[in-house]
Amino acid sequence: MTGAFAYLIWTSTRNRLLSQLRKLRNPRYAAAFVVGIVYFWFFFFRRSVQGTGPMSPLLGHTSEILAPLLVVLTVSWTWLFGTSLSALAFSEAEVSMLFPAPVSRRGLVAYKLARAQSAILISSLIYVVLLRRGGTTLDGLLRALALWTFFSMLSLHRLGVALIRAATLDRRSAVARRNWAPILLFGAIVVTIVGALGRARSRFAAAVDAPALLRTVVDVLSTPPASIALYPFHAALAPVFSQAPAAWAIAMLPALALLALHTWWVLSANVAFEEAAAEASTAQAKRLEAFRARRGNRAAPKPKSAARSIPLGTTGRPEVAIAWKNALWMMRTGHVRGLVLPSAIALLCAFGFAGRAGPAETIVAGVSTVLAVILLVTGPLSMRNDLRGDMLHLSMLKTLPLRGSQIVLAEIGSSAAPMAASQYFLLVAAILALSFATGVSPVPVAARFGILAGAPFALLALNAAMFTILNGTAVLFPAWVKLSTAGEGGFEATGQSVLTTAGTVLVLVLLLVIPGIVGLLAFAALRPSLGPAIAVAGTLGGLALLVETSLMIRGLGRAFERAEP
Amino acid sequence: MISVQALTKLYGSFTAVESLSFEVKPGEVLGLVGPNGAGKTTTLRCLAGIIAPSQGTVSVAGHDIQRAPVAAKHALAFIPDEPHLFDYLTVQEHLRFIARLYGVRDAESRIPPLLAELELSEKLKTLPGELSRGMKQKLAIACGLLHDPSVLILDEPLTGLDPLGMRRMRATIAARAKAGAAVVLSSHLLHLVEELCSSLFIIQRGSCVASGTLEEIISRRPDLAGRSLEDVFLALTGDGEVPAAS
Repeated sequence: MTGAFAYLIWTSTRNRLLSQLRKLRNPRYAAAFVVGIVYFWFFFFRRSVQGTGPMSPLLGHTSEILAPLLVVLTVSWTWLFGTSLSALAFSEAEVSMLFPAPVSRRGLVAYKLARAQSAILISSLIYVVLLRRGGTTLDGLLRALALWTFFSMLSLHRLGVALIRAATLDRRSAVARRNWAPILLFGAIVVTIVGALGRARSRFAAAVDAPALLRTVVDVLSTPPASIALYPFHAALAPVFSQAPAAWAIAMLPALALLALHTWWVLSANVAFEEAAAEASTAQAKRLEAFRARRGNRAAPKPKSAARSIPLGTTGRPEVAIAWKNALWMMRTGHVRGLVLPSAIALLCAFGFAGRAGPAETIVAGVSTVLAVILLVTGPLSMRNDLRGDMLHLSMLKTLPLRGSQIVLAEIGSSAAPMAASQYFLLVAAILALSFATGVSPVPVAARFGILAGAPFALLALNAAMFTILNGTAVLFPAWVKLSTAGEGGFEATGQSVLTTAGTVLVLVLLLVIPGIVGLLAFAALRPSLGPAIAVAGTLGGLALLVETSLMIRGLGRAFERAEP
Repeated sequence: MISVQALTKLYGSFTAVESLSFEVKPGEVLGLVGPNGAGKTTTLRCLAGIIAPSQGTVSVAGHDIQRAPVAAKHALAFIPDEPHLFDYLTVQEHLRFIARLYGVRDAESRIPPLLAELELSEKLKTLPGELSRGMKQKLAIACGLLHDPSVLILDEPLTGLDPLGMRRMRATIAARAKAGAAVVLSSHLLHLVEELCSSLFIIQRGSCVASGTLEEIISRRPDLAGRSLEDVFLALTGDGEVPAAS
């Protein structure tokens, strides 16, 4: 059976690599791969290889003391409160082929451990690169071995916890009756550490700044009894923080002993985990699908309830039906709440702090404006109830008796209009807050009226342009979207992301040239009257951008009609 | 009602379907059959305007599907083998959505009997995620039938339906044809094709290997006389040898 498992792992890995390599014959993948390599080289590898600069702070004494604490908290949380069985998850193919096969439970666990090695090796290499950044004296291979030991132990531990948890689902198992022991052990460790930190509270109170506070924490954790409670975790991580080969060799002995202990523990647990594993596998498949959906520009959130609806007449302009459909999506996926709440809270705060002395209203104005800007940039990326979601239904959409431009306009309009409205109300809250503030306002009254009058067109146009560009990617370059839906990472996925972001920014900048000139000319012409100048500049600039966007939508409509599933 | 002339669809250097020509008149049911990968779904997708032919023309209710797609699509309904539904619209909302798109003025009176016919009356407020595979297929069928299309294009319409659902669907197809709709039906269920279709169009590797009524096809292959459609199909799409009688 070991041979069959080894064959499965080897052939799967080889075929996946070959498949990735074959894709590079496609210019699109090749370009994305090159850009991804350049990106990773520039941001991650360059300084690591050059070995310049000081040692990474991640390898310092403070990290060496705090890292075991982080591991304790994570592991203890899993033991004391965690309910996830995800460590037991197999792929759907593994469940359907290996579970009914004549394979022992121990064999399945061993296969699971072996299968985890690829992820552990990749994680180890990534951390070697990150920790070498700035240069240290320990050889990269030795640190990789230390990291591999630690990550393998962590993986074994997660699997062991999941097996114990699966055993608790099967009350007849003897393992279930032993469950209290690790819970007591980890409970005692947490109580010891919390107690030690609690006894030092006067020292924490005396700390004058954050570095002093951190020094106190490190000091408490470095001395008994906290250091004793942390010892096994420190021992597991010590080789990673070693600075020289000799220290590394000494630190590896207890770490390897812990790894051996974990291996024995997991392989000797004879737990009927199949049912729990099958459930975990289904849950994992759903998560994976949702993850791929998010990466693949699809409408990821699923509706939880259809209790409320919006009426729709059965006659009238047909494209309204698409806007209605998207409005229901927003309502049922919580996006309406996400758009309404910030502006409602901002408006409430603006009215609530009215007339009070102090900086409250200025803060409300500042936060509201920043939120509006953030929403302008990130909103179109996060709200995907348009063609980015509906391209999945392309076959269905293409049978509808609508022109392509009607569909594209309805899809974009139903996203851009509510997004622009939310941003506008945030601006209204900001203007109100400034008006209610005591003292001198940085924005003159005339300018405030100008913003209120000019912002609607400007915001609607900006949002429409952003949504059109992003929808254009889905319609014109569906293959780039499919690259993500394949659920594959690596250099080409990163390269794709870099290229599409750069392309989006470039198109937006080009689109803004003419509206910018129009707006500036209008502002310059009416400059003596600040309010009207801002209002007219915003409106005319917005109108110019809307004209450009409508032309793009017409073009996209034709492209949509040519698009094939 | 449906007129296909020299329909060809290429994917790069691969020819999915080549020079297909046929007509389906009102009241006729054409059975489009062929082995896996023969080009049936590609043909149906070209008929429905989902993909564009590389060469040739498709006319639906007198409208060229490429030149006047909106008018052509108003007349047709395409029911695929895999139902494409919106996750966030209930059963009732799907029908209202379709009613608005197709401008169905009497939707309020049409929806209840349609839902009753397809046993969806109890599921009005249900989202697709809560429906079984068969129920989803029924909803897709309801959406297709709501605007009373004069052209029906069906790709494996019985997939996922229970025995009663299959019987009702067969009756529905027959009733629509009797009422004057032109129907193109693709299915591997040859007994369904034999029962419902007035003529056949058998394709293999993208090309037509036989067309006409079963009698006409057999008249061109006397060695198949007295054989079932299954035998005829296997003989025409297999290695040419006449299989043992089934």
